[in-house]
Amino acid sequence: MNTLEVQDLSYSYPDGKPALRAVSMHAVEGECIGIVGPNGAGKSTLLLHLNGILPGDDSRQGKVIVCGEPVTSSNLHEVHRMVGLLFQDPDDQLFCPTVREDVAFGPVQFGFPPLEIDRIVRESLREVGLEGFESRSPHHLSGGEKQRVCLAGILACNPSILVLDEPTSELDPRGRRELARLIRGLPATRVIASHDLELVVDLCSRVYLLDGGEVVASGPAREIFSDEDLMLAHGLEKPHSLHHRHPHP
Amino acid sequence: MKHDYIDRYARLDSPVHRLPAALKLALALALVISTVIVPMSAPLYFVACALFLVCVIFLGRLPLRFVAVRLLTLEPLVAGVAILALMQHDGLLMLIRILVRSNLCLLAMVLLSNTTPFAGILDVLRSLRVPSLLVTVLALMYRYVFLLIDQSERMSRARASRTFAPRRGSRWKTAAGIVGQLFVRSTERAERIYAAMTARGWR
Repeated sequence: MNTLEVQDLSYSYPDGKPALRAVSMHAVEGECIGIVGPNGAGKSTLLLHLNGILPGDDSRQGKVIVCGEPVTSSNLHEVHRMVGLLFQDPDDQLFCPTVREDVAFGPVQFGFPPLEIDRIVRESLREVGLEGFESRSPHHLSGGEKQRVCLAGILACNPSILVLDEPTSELDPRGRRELARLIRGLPATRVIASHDLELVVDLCSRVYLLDGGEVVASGPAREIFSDEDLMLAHGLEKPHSLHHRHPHP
Repeated sequence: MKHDYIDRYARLDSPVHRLPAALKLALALALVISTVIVPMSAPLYFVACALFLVCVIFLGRLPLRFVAVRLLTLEPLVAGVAILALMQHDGLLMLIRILVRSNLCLLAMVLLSNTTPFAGILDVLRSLRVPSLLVTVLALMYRYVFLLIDQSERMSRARASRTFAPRRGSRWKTAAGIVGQLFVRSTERAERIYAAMTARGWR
């Protein structure tokens, strides 16, 4: 079953500039898909639509279907709960004075009882390997720690779909490796938009190549990324790991 | 960059730090209000207040130098009002009154913010049924004021590194530019934060 489905989604920015043109994509349950493309291709805009952040706009056409339910302005609250969105800059997402409050933000909004919230916070922090960070303030964390607290805040909402916007752009190699390991181990359906093609090829089974707000190619990650002409035409490069693969697997 | 000079010592461990946040907040507020109300004809009150605050500094293991510097950075505001008072009849007396009262109040606040983590103060406000919107705004302010300071420092450093022939006029111009840029960036960030809040169920 398709956990996530986008049908002919078009959207223009408030200034009238088209951002997405008839984008269609899908993800089956438990799948990890990648969205790649040059800067300004519309990746972030597409991700915001998946969570219903840009809803009911006149300039929006097409459908986003989450777990069988089309996203409308009346079921946004459920959609927010089903789709967890990790933003590019962790400082945008960590808006609470302590780590505990931040991780608890979602569960509090969804009205869980306090004891349950404590348990969820503890478990989410353990899941990302940050036990005992509850009373730290976000400003005093390293980039990797911030990104993992963000992820804990999303896992605390127990979403069926995880949408990650450039999850590794501010991480050092170790932070990146740990985050990749974390993402790989999650059971949810995952959508990753990134310029980090090595990460995408490592984690994602299928990718969508976006340029100028359109899907220009889609298919298995290795297949798309190995097409050097296609990659160069859209501001990307064939990942090194694909250059050095043994010819006889 | 670490900008914790607003509440650098809030997370120390001392008898004062261990007191409940509610008690400290209540004491500080009571002290501020009574300092404003009590007439100057009762000098003993002000001496007692000052002694009490000094005791808090020592019990709280706060470095004297740090407290003095914090107080001095807030002083220009006080001095501005105090000097205006000089123009009036009985100006000198008025100046002394203003200086004593406002310094006691400021000292109380500096001590409160450096013996109590801000999150603790917010918890107290929440349990006092202060409107949640107000508490949220305070929490966001505390969270992002550091980021704003970081950002403005990075920007002025970047400008400085490309300023070759500083002239007085151009310095004001670049300062104005930085303020404008900060405003634009903050507005954009506010929009992203709001999106992040909505994404996790805020309404």
